[in-house]
Amino acid sequence: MGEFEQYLVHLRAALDVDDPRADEIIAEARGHLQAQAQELEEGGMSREEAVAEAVRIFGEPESVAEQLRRANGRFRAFSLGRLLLSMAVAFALISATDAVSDHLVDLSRLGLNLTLPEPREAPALSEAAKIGIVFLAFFLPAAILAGRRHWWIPSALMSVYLLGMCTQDMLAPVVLAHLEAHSWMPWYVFVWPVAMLAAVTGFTYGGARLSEFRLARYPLAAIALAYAIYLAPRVWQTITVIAGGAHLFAALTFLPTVFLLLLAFARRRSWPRLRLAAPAAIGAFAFFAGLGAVCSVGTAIADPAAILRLDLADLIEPAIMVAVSGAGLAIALSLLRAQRGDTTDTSAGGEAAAHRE
Amino acid sequence: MSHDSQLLKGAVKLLVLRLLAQEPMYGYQIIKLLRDRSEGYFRLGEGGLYPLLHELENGGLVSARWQHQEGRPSRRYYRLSARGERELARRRQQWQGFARAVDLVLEVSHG
Repeated sequence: MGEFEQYLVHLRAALDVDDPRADEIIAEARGHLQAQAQELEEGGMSREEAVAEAVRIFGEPESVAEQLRRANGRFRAFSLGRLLLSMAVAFALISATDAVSDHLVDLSRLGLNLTLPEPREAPALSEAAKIGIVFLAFFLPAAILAGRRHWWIPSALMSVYLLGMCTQDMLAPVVLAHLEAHSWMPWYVFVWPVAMLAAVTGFTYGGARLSEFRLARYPLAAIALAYAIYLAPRVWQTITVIAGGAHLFAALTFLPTVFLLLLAFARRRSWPRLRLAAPAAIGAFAFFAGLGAVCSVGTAIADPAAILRLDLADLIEPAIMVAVSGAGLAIALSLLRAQRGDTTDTSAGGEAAAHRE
Repeated sequence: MSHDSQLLKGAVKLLVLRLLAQEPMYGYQIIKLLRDRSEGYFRLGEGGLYPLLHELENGGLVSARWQHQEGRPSRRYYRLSARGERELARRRQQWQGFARAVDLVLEVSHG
């Protein structure tokens, strides 16, 4: 039935909400108009009169759209300007996270009045920058995408990551030194991880709450894009040193982040081809992982003694990174599957929306 | 009879919640029921009902579900949530208090 199409096209054009929501609104309006016109027709009007009257009663499209737009604020449509603004802010945040701690370390090395209490805390600050970047670029977007229902998944992943970092880089030297001196475990080593876990839980839950607002897609996309720009010059370096593990975290979190970014954009059905890029991201991830494995095996063959020189601490970070990134990809894949279910053919409006429900 | 828009908006929200407490309904059904049960008093601008329903939905007071119908347009049914029930009770109490207070003043004025 196409009698209402002109009206519905006007209504849709004025809506400024995202495509899935607009589909639902238009399908609902169409159903209403058809029911109204049918009732008027049964009351004695001609079909044409009934259609015109139904449209008149429904209201001016601009006015109705304005009310609908206000009622559906969380479904605001995508805007390039908002994306660029969010991207600039996110990039500044990421740069600041990294740069401030690096500068602190540099200044303390120069003996300026920022000397840290103990030398081992210098790498700890660098680790903090790393944690900050990983959190901003990977876990916060993951939390936003996961939404309120599954917010605990990225939270748990970030917690595992932090525990690994704390254990390996920050706590191990302290604990070992303490054990050598006292032979009992210091109680305060538990304070730091617990505090960080609490902070992560709070932040990821907050990020997940953002998912209630569709505007969350802007910081989400912006963070991922900024991270991509930040790492772009380091890609080759990452590839060359991946076997050494120094930049393993960057390589392994970069790809899931790109993948999540693609997912975020693929939600817009006006860019459906971007979905094809998601398998490409998985392929790239497989390439990096394979390259790492090949390099490691090559190192082992060329220098078997190197393996004997490895201790547990050398293996913890790569293992954690692989686990976390793999889990991140699993989340992204499950989200993609869910979104495929969400965005099956919506040309029929209400019928497709019915599947979504 | 002309309507005070603020008064009407508050009242319509209450009435819609009340109707949905009976059973899940779709938009057109709600409009017809409001009109019929109020003996034609509540004639909403029909396009105005959906923003209200979406507002309730986004506030978690109602949930919505599409129902497919053979050979006919699908309908989006709205159902009152537990939160909506609490909101209904709150608004109902508020309205009753308001109506009673207005009545008391009007009676004194007329008396």
